Amino acid sequence: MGKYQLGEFEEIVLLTVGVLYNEAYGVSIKFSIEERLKRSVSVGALQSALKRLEQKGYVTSRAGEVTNDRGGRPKRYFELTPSGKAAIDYARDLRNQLYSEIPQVIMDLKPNKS
Amino acid sequence: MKQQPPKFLLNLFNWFCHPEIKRYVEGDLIEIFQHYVKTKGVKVAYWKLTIEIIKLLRPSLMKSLEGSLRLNYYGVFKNHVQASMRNLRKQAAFSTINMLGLAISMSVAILMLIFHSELSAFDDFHQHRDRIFRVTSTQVGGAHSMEINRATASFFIGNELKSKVSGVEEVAILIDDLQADLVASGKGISVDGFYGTPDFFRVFSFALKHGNPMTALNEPNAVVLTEQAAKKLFGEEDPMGQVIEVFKNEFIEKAIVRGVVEDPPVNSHLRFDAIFSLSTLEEHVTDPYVKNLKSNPGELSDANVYVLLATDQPPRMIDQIMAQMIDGYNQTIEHPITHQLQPMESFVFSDTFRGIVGPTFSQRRSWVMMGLALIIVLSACFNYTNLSLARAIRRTKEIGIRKVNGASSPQVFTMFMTEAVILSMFALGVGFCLFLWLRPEFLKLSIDWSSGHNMFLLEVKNHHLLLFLGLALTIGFLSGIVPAFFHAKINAYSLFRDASKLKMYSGVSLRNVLIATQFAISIGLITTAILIRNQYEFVLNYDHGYNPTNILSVIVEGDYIDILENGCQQLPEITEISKSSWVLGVGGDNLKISIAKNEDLSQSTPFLVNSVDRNYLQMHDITMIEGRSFDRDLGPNEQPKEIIVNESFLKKLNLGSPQEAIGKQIGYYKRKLTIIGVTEETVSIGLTKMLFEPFAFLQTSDHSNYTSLNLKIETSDLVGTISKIEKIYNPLDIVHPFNASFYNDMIVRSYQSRKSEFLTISFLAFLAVVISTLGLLGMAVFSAENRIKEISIRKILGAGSLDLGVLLSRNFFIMTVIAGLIAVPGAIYIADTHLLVDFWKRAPIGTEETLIGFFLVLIIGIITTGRIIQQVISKNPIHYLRDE
Repeated sequence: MGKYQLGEFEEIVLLTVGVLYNEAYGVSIKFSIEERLKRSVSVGALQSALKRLEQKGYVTSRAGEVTNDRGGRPKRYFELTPSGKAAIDYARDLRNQLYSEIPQVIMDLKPNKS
Repeated sequence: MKQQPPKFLLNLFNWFCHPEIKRYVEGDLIEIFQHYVKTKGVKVAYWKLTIEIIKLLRPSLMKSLEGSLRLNYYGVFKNHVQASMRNLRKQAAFSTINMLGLAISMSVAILMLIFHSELSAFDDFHQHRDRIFRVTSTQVGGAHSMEINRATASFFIGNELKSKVSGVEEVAILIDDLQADLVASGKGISVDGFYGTPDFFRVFSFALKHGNPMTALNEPNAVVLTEQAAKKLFGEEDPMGQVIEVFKNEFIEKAIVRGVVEDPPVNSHLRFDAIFSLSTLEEHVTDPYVKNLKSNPGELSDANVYVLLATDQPPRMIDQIMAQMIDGYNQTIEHPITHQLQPMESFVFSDTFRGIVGPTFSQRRSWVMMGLALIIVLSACFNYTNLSLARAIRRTKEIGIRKVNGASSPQVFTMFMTEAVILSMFALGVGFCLFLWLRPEFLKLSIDWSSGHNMFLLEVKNHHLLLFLGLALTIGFLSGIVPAFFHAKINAYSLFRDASKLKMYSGVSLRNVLIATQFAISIGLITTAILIRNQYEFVLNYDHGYNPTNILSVIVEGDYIDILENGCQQLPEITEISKSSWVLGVGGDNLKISIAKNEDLSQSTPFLVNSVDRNYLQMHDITMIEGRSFDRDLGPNEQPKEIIVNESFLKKLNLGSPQEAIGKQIGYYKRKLTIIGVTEETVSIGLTKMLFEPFAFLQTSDHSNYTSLNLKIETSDLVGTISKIEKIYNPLDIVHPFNASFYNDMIVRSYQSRKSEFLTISFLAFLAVVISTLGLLGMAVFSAENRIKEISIRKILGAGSLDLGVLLSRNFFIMTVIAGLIAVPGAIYIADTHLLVDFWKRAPIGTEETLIGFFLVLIIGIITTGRIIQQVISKNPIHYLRDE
């Protein structure tokens, strides 16, 4: 992990930002993660993850235009950067590599259904 | 119109959120809120929004303390802390001296804070503490027609209050001074306690471990034991319903355990091992004591009446009602009685009241202690000020550069305040450790001040920590404010031009006064401590007119003294045996007071009486001024005819000189006694004027009057002999443990409170000396640094070291002498009129005692200033003058 520091939640946020492409801002990311992962995401956790990702240079942000919605507050859109893309790739490769090296015996294990 | 989220939640969010993301996240929050309003309803949406905002409270999303636009002083403050730490480190010696002074004073202040908070929280475990009052009585009476305040009242007033006044919810009457020996299943204990009415547990919040608080004290002969007493008597057995045999009590023979109550805590004014039901006494209505107690409104000395008032009942109104109640009785007597309600929080300070139950603490003493602590704290603050001003010259350049670089006066001010507060925080830490170290010693001492009761724990509670923090802040503030003002005020230009021309501060004379005061306090405390110690030694070595060596006194509480005497006679080590009703020179619980009249009954005096047998006076080598001692023992039922009195007895009854008094008769309980001998005044309860000076020996035929068996022992194996005596004693008394001590030890113990007084004052003297030495050090450094150029020039012009030394220390000498002139007579006066006033033979005060304190301070001062002066004198003058 030396090159790309990415926590589990950060990775999910980063992926989601990628998935949402032009529509990635606080609320849409939050609901999207909640829907897919069936877990609740607090604004606080999300914002601090986004802040870390921005500091690491994996995402950039830009302010949206002011609308009458949201009490007149602008949206803040996030976008993947090339290095963010590289980080996703790296994480995926790492997982794939680890997955492929698991011995066959373990691959045959079935989840315990009770 | 869409549902808008509550404004205050968003305001809260806006207040803490980092401004960079504030607008966007606020928008997100509003959107989420509206989403939830649509899907889950307003209530859920509110709830979710609150949770979200709370979860946003994380360091990475909060605005930084410095403020994004640097509109507050956090950064400056941080810099101040850094600079202060650097400064403190750089001047390690100076900071250590300062910190030690502050730490010492702070440990005393901490002690006093906790001490005081425990005093004011006395009895606060009672749920209704603010509504519990005690009925006190005031009546003119006694030998000198003085107003006597009693903590007790009459049974009559208690009953009246209970039955006739609607604002009184409950009345608990306690008859105190109940002592009894309880025996059950072969084990016995001796208990103190009282008789109580069934309301007892409704007024006070003592929790019952077993039994019903409403009914426990209802029936006659019921007893409620404390856990401790129950455990001693019954062990692990269930005490409820057990029958206890009661001895040495005229009203109860058997009692039934109806409850077990938790042990009264240390901060309770009520102390007891057992409570008997008051209805027990009612079975004895024919007894004259009980009859008088229950019916006589003027019988004020035994009943403690506690009332629980209704919530909105003003106590002053009850006072008026009580005045009306007692009015009828007051018409019939000479000195009218007034009753008043005393609130529970002042119980602990009622040490001047008669008939007090449990521990009390003199309010005056607590004030004196607070005052001394305050003096020490202020003294340490003053030292800090003094020392840091002395150091100021060294720091003028630093301040100058700060100012030139744009530091405003308030900023310099804050910097110096920060430094003082940081130092005082360190001092708080050290002082707290000192306090922990002092605490056990102080607890031991405090027992002597509260009439033998253990009434303090000195526990540090959480809310105390806040107090300590406040204390450290205050002390830091007080000590830092003058240097801070000074540095803030000065002009940057003048700092660089010529630092030595700075006028440090105009109040030099004030400073001298303060230092002289410090000296005076030190000298005064040392002198007082020496005077008390002198008196203590004097008393212990005083020839009391008898010889107490090798006499062992065994306390006997029961009717087996003759059996024990016979048993002891068998032991060869015991050369002489005598019996007495109390121990001479010491007193104790069995002191007996009687009234004697002169022959024509025109005059009377109370006196202490000790019933002794024939051997007693010979055995104790009691010196007779005149006359002889008893020559035989009284037979059974024979009344005493002879009496041996002391000199002040003669004076009180105007019986003339000892020679004239022999053969005269006095009246005693409607009998006549002939004076056959006269002893010295001091043959009594020692050298403290605790009770009465008149004293007499009397014989008795009733051996139950004897409670002390005195044995003269001549042996090399003391331990063996004592255990032999114990073996004879043990089967005779299962209730009281063997209690024997040597005469000399008992005398030492009876002056214990003097010793603790001496120790306290010595300790305070030590603190005062340390602190004033530190102050002196500061002053020496200050004056040396201030006058360095003058000294250098003098030196070049040929002044010798001695001349310079005299020049620099002259001021100090003058101040010490002035301080000594004030402090020594002051200390002698205070010792004379307050501390040692109750001794009737005073140790002589020599020049030695009076001057030790003065010279001690002088020598310490010379050593301290001497070093500094020597340093200054030995420096090369060129070093200081080359820039001129």
